[in-house]
Amino acid sequence: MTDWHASDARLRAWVAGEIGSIEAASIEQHLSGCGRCQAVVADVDDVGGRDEVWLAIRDRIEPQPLNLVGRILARFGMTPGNALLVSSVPSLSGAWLLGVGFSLVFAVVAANVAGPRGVAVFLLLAPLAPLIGVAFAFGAEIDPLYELTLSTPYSKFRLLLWRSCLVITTTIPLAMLAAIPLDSPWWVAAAWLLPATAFCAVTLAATKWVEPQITALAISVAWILAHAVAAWRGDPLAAFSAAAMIAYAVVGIAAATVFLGRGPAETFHGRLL
Amino acid sequence: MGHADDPRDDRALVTAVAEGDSGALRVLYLRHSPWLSVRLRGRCNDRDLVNDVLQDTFVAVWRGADRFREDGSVGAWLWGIGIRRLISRLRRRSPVTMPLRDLDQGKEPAAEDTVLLGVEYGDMGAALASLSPELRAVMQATVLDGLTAKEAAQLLGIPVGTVKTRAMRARVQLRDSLAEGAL
Repeated sequence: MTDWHASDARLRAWVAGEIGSIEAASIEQHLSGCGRCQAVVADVDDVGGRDEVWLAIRDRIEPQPLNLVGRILARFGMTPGNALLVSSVPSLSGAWLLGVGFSLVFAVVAANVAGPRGVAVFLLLAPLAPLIGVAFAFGAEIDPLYELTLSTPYSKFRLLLWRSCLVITTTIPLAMLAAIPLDSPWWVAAAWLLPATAFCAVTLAATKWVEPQITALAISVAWILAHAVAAWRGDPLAAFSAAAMIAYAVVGIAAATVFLGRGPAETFHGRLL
Repeated sequence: MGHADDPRDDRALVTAVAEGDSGALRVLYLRHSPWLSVRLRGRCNDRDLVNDVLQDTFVAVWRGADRFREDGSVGAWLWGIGIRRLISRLRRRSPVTMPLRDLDQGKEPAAEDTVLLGVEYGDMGAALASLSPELRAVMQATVLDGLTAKEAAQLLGIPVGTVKTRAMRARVQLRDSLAEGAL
C-alpha cells in the first residue's frame, strides 16, 4: 500500500482505453490492491449489464450439495470446501462408475463364456479402469473447478494425489468384485493390480510434461496392441509372465519416485499440467 | 447500493463468502467487477465474453472462497482467476482477435506516466517502454499478468516457443537498459 493514487483523469483514460500500454500496466497493478481507485473506476465505467451478470451469478450459486464421496470425506474431518474440490473429480460421477461396472461385468461374462481367452479379455480391460479414472481426474476441459484450482495457492500435488487415490479406491474394488464369479485360477483377480498401479503411477508422473489423458491414451493403446500381438502368437497371457510382472514393478516404482519427487514444493500459483 | 459503506475489508468479505454469506459476495462483486471488467476488456475486446468471464469468476470465488490464503491480495487473486477463465473461454472459440492495448500511440511518455511508473516499477517502467511492442506484450502477459508461457501463448495467439524466445530476448534487453541506467 502506498499513499500514491492514480489521478481520476488517468483512470478515466484507462477505462476508455486511451493510454499507452506501459501506463495501463502500471495502473492495473495499482488497481488490484487499491480500494479508492477501484471505487473511482466503478463510478466511471458505466457499461450496462452489471446487474444482469450479478443475477446470473446469483442463479448459479444456489447451495451446492456435496455428493456422497464429499460427504464421506467431510465426515472424516475434511473441510467442506476441500471435500467439494476433491470430490468434484469428473471421473467419480455416477455415470463413470456405472460405465466401469458395466464393462467389467461384460468382461466377466465374456470370460465365463469363452474360457481362457475370456480371462485374457478380463485381464485386458481391468487395468484400464483405474488408469482412465486417473486420466480424467483432472483437466481443463472436464473439471468444473479447473480455473479456481489453478489460480488458488493450494497444493496441486496434494489435490492430484487425493483425487487419484479416490478414483483408484473406487475402481479397484469394483474390478475385484467383478472377478469373483470368474471361473479361473485364483491369481487372475490380483494379477492385473500390478500393471494397473504401474500405469497410474506413470500417468501421474508424466503430468509434469503432458496432460494425463494423453498419457493414458498412449498406455491404453500400447497395452491393447501388446495383448493383440500376444494373442496372435498363441500366448494371450504373455503380458502377465513373471518377467513382465517384474518390469511393471520397476516401472511403477520409478514413476512413483518421479511423481513424489515433485513433491509439495509445487504448491504455488501456476500450472499443474 | 451501499457497497462502499460496507465496513468489512476484502479479506473479511472473502472469509464471509467462505461461510456462505452471499451478501458478502455481492459486495465483492460491486467493488471488483468494474476494474476487472475494464482490465479484461484490455485483453479481449468482446463485452459479452468478458461478462461471461466475470460471471464464471465470481461463481468460482463462491465455490472456493475458503481456498483463499490470508496473506494474498484479494484483487490479485480475482485477476488470476479471471484471466485464466478468459483464456480457457478463448481457447474454445477461434479465430480470435486479440487487441492488446494500443501501442504507445507515438507519444513520448508524459510527465505523469513517468510518475506512475516511478511509483509502481521504478526504473523498470522506462526499461519496459524501450522494448519493441511484441516483446512488451510477452512481458506484460508473463510478468505483469502472472501467466505461464503456455497461457500467454494462448492469450496472444502465438506458439509457446515464440513466447519463450521473446521473453528471453526481452529479459536480456531489460537487463542491458537497466544496467545503462545505473551508470
